[in-house]
Amino acid sequence: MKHPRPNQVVPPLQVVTGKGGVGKSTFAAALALKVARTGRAVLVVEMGAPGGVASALGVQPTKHGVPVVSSCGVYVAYFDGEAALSEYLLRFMPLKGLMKGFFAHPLYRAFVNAGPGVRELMAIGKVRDELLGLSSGIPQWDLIVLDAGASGHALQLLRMPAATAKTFSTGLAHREATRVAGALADPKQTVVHVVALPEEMPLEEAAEVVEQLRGPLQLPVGRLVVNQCRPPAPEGAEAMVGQLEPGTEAFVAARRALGWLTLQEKGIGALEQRLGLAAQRLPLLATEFIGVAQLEQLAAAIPGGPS
Amino acid sequence: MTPTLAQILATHRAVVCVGTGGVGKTTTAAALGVAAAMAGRRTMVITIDPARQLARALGLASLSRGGERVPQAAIDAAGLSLPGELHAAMLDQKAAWDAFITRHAGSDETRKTLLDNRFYQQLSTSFAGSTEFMAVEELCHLDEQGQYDLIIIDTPPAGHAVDFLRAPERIEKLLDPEVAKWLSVPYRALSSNPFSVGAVTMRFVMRQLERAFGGATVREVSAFFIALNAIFGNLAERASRARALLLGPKTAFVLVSSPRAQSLADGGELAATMRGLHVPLKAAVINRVHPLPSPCASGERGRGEGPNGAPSPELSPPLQHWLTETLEAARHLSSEESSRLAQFSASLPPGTTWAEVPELDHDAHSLTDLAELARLMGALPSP
Repeated sequence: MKHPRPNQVVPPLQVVTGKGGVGKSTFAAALALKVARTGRAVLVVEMGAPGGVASALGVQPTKHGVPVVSSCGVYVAYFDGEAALSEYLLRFMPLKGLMKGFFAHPLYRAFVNAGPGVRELMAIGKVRDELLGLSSGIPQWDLIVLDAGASGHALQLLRMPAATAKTFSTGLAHREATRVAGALADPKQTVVHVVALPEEMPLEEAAEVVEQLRGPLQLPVGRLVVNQCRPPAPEGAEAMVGQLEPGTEAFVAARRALGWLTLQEKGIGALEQRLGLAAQRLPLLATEFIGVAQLEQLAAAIPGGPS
Repeated sequence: MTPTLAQILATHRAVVCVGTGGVGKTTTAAALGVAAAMAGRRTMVITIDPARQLARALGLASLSRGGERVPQAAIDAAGLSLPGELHAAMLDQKAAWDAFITRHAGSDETRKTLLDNRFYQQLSTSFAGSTEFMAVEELCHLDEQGQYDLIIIDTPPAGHAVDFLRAPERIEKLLDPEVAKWLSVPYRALSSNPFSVGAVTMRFVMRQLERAFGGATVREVSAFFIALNAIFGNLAERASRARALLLGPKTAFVLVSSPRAQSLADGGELAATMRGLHVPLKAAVINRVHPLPSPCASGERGRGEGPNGAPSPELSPPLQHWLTETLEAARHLSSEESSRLAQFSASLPPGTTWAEVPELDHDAHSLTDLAELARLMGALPSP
């Protein structure tokens, strides 16, 4: 089990991933809210297009890379890999006037399409730039939460910088890939949180993701979060359900609830043992709808500091 | 009349399960496979998900690329009768790409150039859309081989499942012959007239690409595109064949979702995209629905239960409280789900088969579980 030491540095880049549909974006937004409540400047970045974070926080970023502030003080932006690549090249290349034609040229398009990972690399690179304050000259953010999407996609995103550093042996892309890969692998700068639900498949996938991060990817693992956990049933619930008449509404409801609880406890227990990492449980909320009020509840339930 | 899932399985050559992650797509594909084999069809289920649990449920140690037949012992142990055959395979996209290039390269030299090219190696493992393209290609290949009556394919767990439908288009864009022309023509242009507009543009573009990606990379990518161009005719023909199979009458798309608000929103978006692309959506399967028996269905009450299913006063206060809350939450969930599902079902094209599958008390662990899911979907042949 890992306990944050009191003087431990909070890694400024907090990446969130997990199986599709487990509430990654909800957790990302709640984590950002928790940090924002301590007076720090927080940006949540979504990849490709505005998604669950923007909708939970009630904002609509309309332009790549332009943060929009929500009513609770958290900033949200989405980064598009191809736009980030053009920006990056424009920064380093001479003859800026000609670059528009270059970006439209079929050969450049082919490189962007065929060079796997170029977009992903540039999107993550832009997150780094934001932390360093490259666009405005001074760092604006204390912390960036990156909603990296479903685990398969997120692992690819996180693997890319190291992989592209090898593919592109020279050139700007090589320089950028090396820089980003170094930052991702540094536990002082980056941490990856893995989110699950208290159900078999999402817990299994979370275990696999953590093992991938620790093994082949060598990236720092942070929290193991289990969303939508149910409180334990009171003593004697099993026996009581056994006495209800099968087929009645109460019987079906109670048996189902006990079944969920069993899966939850068995699953989380097995996961913690397999990974040697304590799961952080977030409560099941009364509604499926997620807005700022719900995020406040979850933020309050997130243990410890923001690392 | 709207067909049942059993009829859809009986009358198609390919079934494509689409949907976002976490809705039981892989399990649904496997359950449909069991049902088809029970109806006597020689069936192959291809999954993208390396779900070990699914392999175990099918009585297999693991899912291999070539495909494994579900052993008779496992079928007997489950007490099932499968007059057809049930095979399962996992898509290994790197191996599938290599096999694809080998099939279509034409010459040994082209094949070797491509297989050894580092760009090809990245493309085959991680190009966005590459898994999707290979899934479709594998489907085509199996269709041509004719070893199976029915091929059921599970699509990648992409955040945006529409990617699957756009994969052939993305690959075609990548294979733009224009690009190879640019890469091979300019050298001629340079030698005949180094000051022509074409030559100057080309030198500029190449120089910028080298700055951005490095000279070695640019040379390697050029070699990649030129080799690809040599087999472009084959690739384009494959892509258009794949599209014809996907959109043709032999293929049925099954949209898999769950009653969660987000899943249905994603499902709705997917269905709309499919309509736009003229993809034949034949059925929707909604997994893990939580219905309740109607409150007045039972006459007698169990001990500990008062009128209308409410807890009786003999229970301890914490238990009474828990039961009341649990019942209330279950009623709320059930009514929310039914209204969302009614709305979603109304948004689908008329004539789409609809199946709601109640949540089982555990994930599917065995052939028996898969057959039970198939029964709940209405996919089993009528006795």
